[in-house]
Amino acid sequence: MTAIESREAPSRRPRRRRPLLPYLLILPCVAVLITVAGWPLYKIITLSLQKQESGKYALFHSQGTTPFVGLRNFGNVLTDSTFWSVLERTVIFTGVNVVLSLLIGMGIALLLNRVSRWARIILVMVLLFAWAIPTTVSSQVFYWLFSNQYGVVNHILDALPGVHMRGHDWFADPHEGLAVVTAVVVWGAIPLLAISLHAGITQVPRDTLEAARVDGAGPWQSFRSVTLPFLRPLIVILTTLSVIWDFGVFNQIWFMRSGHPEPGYQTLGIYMYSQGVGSSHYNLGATLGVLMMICLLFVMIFYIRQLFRIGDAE
Amino acid sequence: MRRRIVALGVLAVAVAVTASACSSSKSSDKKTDSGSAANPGGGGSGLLSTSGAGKTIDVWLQSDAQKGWPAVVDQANQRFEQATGAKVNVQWQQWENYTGKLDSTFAGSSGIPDVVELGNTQTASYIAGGAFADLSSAKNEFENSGTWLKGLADSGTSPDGKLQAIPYYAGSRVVIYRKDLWTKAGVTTAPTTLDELFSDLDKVKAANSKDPNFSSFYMPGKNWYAGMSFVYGAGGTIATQQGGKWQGGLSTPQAQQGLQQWQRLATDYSVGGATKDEADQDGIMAQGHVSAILGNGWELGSVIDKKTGNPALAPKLATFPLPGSAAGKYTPSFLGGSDLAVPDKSSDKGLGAEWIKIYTDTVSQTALAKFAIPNTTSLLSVYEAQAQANKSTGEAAKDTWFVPNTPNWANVESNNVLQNALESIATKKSSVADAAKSADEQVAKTLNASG
Repeated sequence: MTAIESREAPSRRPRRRRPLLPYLLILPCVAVLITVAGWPLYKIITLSLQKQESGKYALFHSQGTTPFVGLRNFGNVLTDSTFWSVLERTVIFTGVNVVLSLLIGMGIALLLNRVSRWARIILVMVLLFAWAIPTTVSSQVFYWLFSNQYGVVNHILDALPGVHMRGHDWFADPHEGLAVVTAVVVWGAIPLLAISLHAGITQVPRDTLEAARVDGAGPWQSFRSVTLPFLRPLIVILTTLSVIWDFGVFNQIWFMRSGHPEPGYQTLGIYMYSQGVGSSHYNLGATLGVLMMICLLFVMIFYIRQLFRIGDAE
Repeated sequence: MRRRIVALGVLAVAVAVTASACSSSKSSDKKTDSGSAANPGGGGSGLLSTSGAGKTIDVWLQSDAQKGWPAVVDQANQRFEQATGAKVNVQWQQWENYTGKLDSTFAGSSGIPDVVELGNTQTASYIAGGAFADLSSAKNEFENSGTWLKGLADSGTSPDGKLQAIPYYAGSRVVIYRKDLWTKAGVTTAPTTLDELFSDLDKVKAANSKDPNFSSFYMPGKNWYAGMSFVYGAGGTIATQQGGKWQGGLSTPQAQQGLQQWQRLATDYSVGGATKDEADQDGIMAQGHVSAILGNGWELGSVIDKKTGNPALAPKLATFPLPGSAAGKYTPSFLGGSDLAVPDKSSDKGLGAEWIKIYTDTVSQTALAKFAIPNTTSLLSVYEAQAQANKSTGEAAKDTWFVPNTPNWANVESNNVLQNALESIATKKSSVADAAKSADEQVAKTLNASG
């Protein structure tokens, strides 16, 4: 590569200016990232280390004392049993959502691979439509589907012999309520996962699959031993992304509980908002935000390592 | 977070309700009345401004006005635009998480509205926070400022007597019921005691037993205004202060008795609302499967609204104050109220104040009196004469309760402590005693928190 470049470079511009160009090109991108990600990050970390000692007056007049208190906010949060139960709920909720969305996404991806061209086009279009619906809308629609009195889900379930679901309130028990939330989250996650996985599957070399078939591998075995290993990098990336998304689920829970999530619905995102913004304890909210980021940082490690691996392979 | 009024305001209304029969009692207010009459259109303090050509002011009003009295807002906007040449951009707000929105707006420096509406338990903390412009010197330019409902006026005044928010309206809750359904079930007179109410509801329930979606009294599980009304009606309180420390009061035998009465309403007579709040109860009543709700007087209009409700129900609806343990005694109502204020950081404070002046003047408030208790005692007779419902709300306003008066109270509301406790009672997830105990602990912890 170097040989080609050095041959072409003199014709474009003087050689000594070359090292500057990449930095110039990346500058706008860095500037944008610093404004939209760096600055808020800096603010939230500072907030988490401070304590607002005066009330709303200071807040509204950009004054008052907000001394640095070190890690005291973190100590307060980490010794609060509510935080741990919220964290446990969030981890379980995330796990269930990620597994379900990946399994169903993979199922649809495989289906896309098998059906005729027309069926595939229609399926992809439907998936894209589902993907285009904002979570605010889909949450509301699912809320109506599961409405206790007039919801179609209760209506259909009630029609089954031996099932009495008339008037059943799905949101009275947070476990059932979170199951409904899971339904809408998974529903919203499937399109991207299915289309990405489908794209991945088409990249699996046909001759390898054929060789496996010739060697007597059944569909399941060739999926496990040929397709899956090929998809592994993609699956790692999609899993980490899904974990990041599902860990921070907010809208779906917020709208389904009309802005008043009960304690049993408090996941980290909701807890952070109601503590931080709802109760005006902004330092506490920032602390929770930082803790959430730290949790996700571990997940990010997988993601970034995988990105580097792909880079190396190429 | 909703409309509320300081207990003193209740007194003012109660006095006014009795006094409204003899209008001569207004003599003591004459001085202020003539003062405001001599000062029409501003110019007194220089605070209010009518030069607004080419400008647009942002007004944050709660959607209660959008649902209840949009025409009152429209006429005020028109008169304001004529008087100043400025345009009005009304941005409808929701009570949910409103304080969070106000906090972040006032903490910033852009996107600040020129007029905001606040519930009157919310005003105190924002006045303390210096969020509003001081309108004291312009007080006389606001019509009826001498006869404002005391509770509303007090909530808009700082501890050192500065006027920072202008009274807007008040409301009290009454039973809105389907007279036709009750008559069909054999109930022809409104109940005067709680026992009568329950036995009447039994009859209505029995007469409609074929409809599985029928609520003889729709009581959402999160309606803490109603739940706490029963607590106060039975002689309980939400919290009491002793030696500087707050203590939750829901575990007392009286409060628990009230909660049990509320639970009976929410579980025996109400269908489908156990995990909901009261925000959509008017629409639900309009669907026809509900024979009674507990709502603000103006919600009747929302039930029969062309767009959001069912106009055919208009002749069938009537109201009565929620009865109490004995005849002549009511279950105390939460008397709500709202104020209007000009944010101190607003770029057009003078125009904002001018808009409030027009929106709260006699013309506007007379129009508003059809739907809500107006901001001045001088218009209460107009209010009471408007409709049968207003007689009930006027009656209900005689006996009211108020939340514990402390800056931390807002956090009890924003953390949904009482809503969650009531919901667990309505869904029977926990017993009244357990729910009361856990709510008491949270209320005490929140109210006693520092900062």
